[in-house]
Amino acid sequence: MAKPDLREFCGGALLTAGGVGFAAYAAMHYTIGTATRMGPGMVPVILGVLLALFGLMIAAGAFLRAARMDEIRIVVPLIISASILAFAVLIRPMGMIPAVFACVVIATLAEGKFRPVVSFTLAAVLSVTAWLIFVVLLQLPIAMINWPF
Amino acid sequence: MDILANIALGLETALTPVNLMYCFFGVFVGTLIGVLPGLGALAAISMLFPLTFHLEPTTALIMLAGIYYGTAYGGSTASILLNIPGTTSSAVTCLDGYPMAQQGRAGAALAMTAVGSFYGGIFGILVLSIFTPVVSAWALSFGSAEYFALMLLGLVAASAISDASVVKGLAMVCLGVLLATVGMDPQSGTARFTFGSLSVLDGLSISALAMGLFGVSEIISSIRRTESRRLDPKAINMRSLMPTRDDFRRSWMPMLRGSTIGSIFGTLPGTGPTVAAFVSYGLEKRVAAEPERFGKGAIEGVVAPESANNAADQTAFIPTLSLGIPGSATMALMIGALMVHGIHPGPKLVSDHPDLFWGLIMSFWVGNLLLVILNLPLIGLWVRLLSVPYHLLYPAILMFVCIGAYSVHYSAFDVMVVMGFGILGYAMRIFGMPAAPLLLGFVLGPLIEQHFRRAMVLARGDFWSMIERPITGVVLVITALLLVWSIWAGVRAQRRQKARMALAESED
Amino acid sequence: MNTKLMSSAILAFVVAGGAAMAQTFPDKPVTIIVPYSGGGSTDLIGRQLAHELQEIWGQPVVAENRAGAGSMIGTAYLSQSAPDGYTLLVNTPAMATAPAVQKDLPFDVMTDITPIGMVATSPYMAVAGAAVNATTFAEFIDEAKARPMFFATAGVGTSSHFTEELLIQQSGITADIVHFSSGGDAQVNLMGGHADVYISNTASVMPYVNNGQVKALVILGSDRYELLPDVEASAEAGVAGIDVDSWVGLFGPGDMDPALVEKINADLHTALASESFQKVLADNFVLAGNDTAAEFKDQVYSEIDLWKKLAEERGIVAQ
Repeated sequence: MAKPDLREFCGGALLTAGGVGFAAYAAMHYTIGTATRMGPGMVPVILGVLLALFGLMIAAGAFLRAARMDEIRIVVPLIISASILAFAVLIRPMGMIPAVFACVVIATLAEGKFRPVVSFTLAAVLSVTAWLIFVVLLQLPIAMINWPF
Repeated sequence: MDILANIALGLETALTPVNLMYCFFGVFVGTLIGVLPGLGALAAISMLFPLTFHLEPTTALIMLAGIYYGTAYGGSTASILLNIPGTTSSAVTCLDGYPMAQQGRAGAALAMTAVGSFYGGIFGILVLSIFTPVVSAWALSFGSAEYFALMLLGLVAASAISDASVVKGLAMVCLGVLLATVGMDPQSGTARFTFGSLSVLDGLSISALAMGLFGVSEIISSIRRTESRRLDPKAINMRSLMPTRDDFRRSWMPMLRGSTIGSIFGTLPGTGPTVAAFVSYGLEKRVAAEPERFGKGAIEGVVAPESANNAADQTAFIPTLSLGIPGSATMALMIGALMVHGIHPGPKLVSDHPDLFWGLIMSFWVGNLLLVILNLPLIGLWVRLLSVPYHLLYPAILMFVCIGAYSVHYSAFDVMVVMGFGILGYAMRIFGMPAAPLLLGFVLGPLIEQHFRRAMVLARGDFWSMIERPITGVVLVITALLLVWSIWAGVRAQRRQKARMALAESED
Repeated sequence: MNTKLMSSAILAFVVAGGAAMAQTFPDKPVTIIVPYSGGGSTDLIGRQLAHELQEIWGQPVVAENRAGAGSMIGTAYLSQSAPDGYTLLVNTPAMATAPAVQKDLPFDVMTDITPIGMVATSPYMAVAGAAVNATTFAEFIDEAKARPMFFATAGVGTSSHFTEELLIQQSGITADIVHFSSGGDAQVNLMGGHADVYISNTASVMPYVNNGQVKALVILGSDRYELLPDVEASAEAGVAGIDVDSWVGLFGPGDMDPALVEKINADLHTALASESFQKVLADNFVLAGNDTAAEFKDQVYSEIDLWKKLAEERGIVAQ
C-alpha cells in the first residue's frame, strides 16, 4: 500500500474541525427547536455535524489512495491578500487613487521580483483607467484623493 | 388578431429614435458592466436610476431593462476568459467555459454564449408576451411549501455539478449552506455568527463570495505560470473564433432545456437567474451521454446555463409588471422607475398602458438583437485580451475586483470578505475541494431553510398537511425519484466499470 | 413657567451663538443618506427632498443609498459623521423599532442622532388577502376569532411586525405571525391566500389596494385618514389604544447646533410647500410634516419607548 495522502487527510480534518466549530457554537448560542418548529440553531447544528462527518470520510479516504504532490504556495496568497487588504484599508480614509496604487504595487510583488518601473507605471495607468471608468463614466460617489490630515 | 395589433403597437413604441437610442445605450452599458467582475446589474441600474426622472416612463424602463439583460451577456465573458465570474449568475459558466479557453477555444465559447444568450432571451420574451396572465396566476399559487419543494428539487438536480468525489461535493454544499446562515435569521430575528458586527447582519455578499472563491484563488494559482497560458497571436484567426458544426449540433437541445428551466425560475419571485443557471447545468450533466466531458470544456455546459440565465432575466419581468412584485432588488428599481411617474405596475398595467408593456417587450427583441450584433465583433477583441502578459493582467483584475466589491455598498468590509474567500478558495484548491457546490449551497440553502420553516408556521407544525398540497407533493415525489434514479445510475456506472476492468483483466 | 422662560432664554442664547454658522450653511455639497435600496417610497421621497433642497440652498444635494441591516447601516454611518449639517439622513419608524430589537447597534439613537423634522406622515393601514371574507373591520374581528389568522410581516422587528402585534393585542384576537422577506413578498402571499393580513404605511399598500390585489381593511387610529375617507378607522369598531402613525423623517448626527437644526427644519418646510413635492406626497398617499424639531424629537422618543415596552410584553426580542 502506498503512503497515505497527507494532504487529503488534512483537508478532511480541517472540514471536521470547521463543522464541529459551527455546530458547537450554534448549539451553545441559538435555540434548536423541533423538526416542525425549527429554531435558528437547527440548520447550523445539523449541517455542522454533516460537514464534520464528510470531513471524517475524506480523511479516512486518505489512507486508501496514493499521495499526490502539487506545489503549495505560501508567499503568493499572502501577497495577494495584502494587496486586497491595502485597498480595503485605504479606500475610505485616502480615496481611490492611493488605494489602487497600493493594491497594484503590492500585487506585482507576487511575481517574485520587484521591478519598480513596471510596477509604478502599471499602477499609474490603472489609476487613470479606474478614474475614467468608475468616476467619469459611471459616476460612482468615490473620492479620488482624500487628505485625512 | 389582437396579438398582431399589440406587436405593431409595441414595435411602433420601441422603434422611435429616442427609445432605440436608449435601448442601445442600455445594452451597451450593460455589456460593459457585466464584463467587469463584481459590478452587476444592480450597481449599474442604481447608478443610472436618477437619470430616469427626466425620461418618459417607457424610455426609462427600456434603458434600465437593457442594462439588466445586457449584463447577462457580458457576465459570461470574464467567466470564460479569466475564470472570474463577471456576474454571479454566470459563475457556472466558468466550469466549462474556462477549460474551453485554455484549449484555445475561447472564441467558440464566447460565440456560442452569445447564441445561447440570444436564444434564451427570445425564448423568455416569447413566454413573457404569450403567457404573462397565466404565469402570474401560477406564480401566486406558489406558497412557501411549494418553494421549499422546488428548491429542494433544484438542489438534488444540481448536486452532481462538480467533477470531484461525491463526498467532497456534498461537504462543500454543507459548507456553503453554513456560510449562508451568517446574518440575521429572518424567521427569529436572531443574529447568527455575526459576533456583534452590523456589517454581516444582512449576510455575506454573494458577489464577494463568487469573486473571492473563483477569481482571487484563480489569480493566486496562475501567477508565474504565465508561459503556458500565452496565446500564439497567429492562432487568433476567424476559424478559431468560429464554433464548429459539432458545437451547434450539441448545443440546440441544451439551449432549449436551459431556456425552459430559466423561464420557470425567472417567474418565481426570489429565485432568479443564478439558481436557473445551476439547475440547467446539473440537468445537462445528468442527461448527457458522456457526463465525464463536463468540467473539461463541454460546450453544453456553457450554453445551457447561459440560455437559462438570460431566459430567467426576461421572465423575471412577469411578476414585476403583472403583479407589481419585485423578485429582486434590481426589479425593485424597475418598479421605482415607474412609480416616479405615478405608474403602479399590477394586473391592470397591460390594459392601462399597452404602449408601455408591448413597447417594452418589443424593445427586448431589439435589445437582444443589438446585443448579438454588439457582442460577436467584440469576441476577437476579448480573445486578444488573453495575449496580454499575465503579470500585467492580474493586478488589473485584482483592482477591478476590489473596486467592484467596494462599490456595491461602499463598504471596505466587503473588500475584506473577498480577501477571506480568496484564501478559502485557494485552500480548497490545495485540498482538491470543488468551489461550485459551495456556491450552490450558498444560493439554495437559505431558500430551502427559510421556506421550510415558514411553511411549517403556515401549516401550524403539521408536516403532512404541507405534503398534501398538490404541487408540493408532486415536486417532492419527483425529487425522491430523481434521488433514487441518481443513486441507481451511480451504482450501475460503478458496476459497469468493474465489469470492464474484470474484462480487461481476463483479456490480459 | 419660570423654567420655560429660562429654557427659552438659553435657547435664544445658543441660537445667537450658532447663528453665524447657520447663516452660511451650506457652502459646499450636502449628502442625504437613504438607508434603503433604491426604488422604494422612502427612496423616492428622499430623492425629491434632495432635489428641492438643492433648489433652495443653491448647492448640490446628493441622495446616496446606503442600504443594509434594516436601515441601520446607513444610520450608523450618519452617527459617525460630523454634525455640521452636510451629512443628513431620511429614515422611517425603523429608527424607533430597531433599538427595541437589535442589540448590536454601534450607536445610541437618543444621543448619537439628532431628529431635525418630519418630512411626511401617514397612518398605518391593514390590508387583507384572498383568504379573508370580511368586508368590514368588525366582521374581520369575528372572522379572526372563528379562524385564527396569519399576520404577514416584512421581517422580524420591522414596523409591520410591531403594528401587527399591537393590533392583535388591542383587538384581543389570537393570531400567528409569519415573517416574510419584504413587504412585497408579504403582500404577494396575501394575494395567493397563503397569509391573511399585512400592515404597513399607505404608500406601501395603496398601489396593491388600487389594483384590486388586496383589500383595504382598516386604518389604525382613532380617526379616518383625510386622504382615504372611505376606509374605516380601527376605533370605530371599538379597538382603541392604537395611536401611532408612520412617517419619514430627516435626521442629522448627534450634537448638532440647535440654530442649524432650526434652519434646516425651516428649509425643509419650504421644500415641502413646493408644488412638485406636494405631488410626490400625494402620489404616495402621505401628508407633509409640519412640526418643529423639538416636537418631532418628542414623537421619535415616545415611539422608542412604546415599541420597547411592546417588545417586552409580546416577547419580540431577538436572542
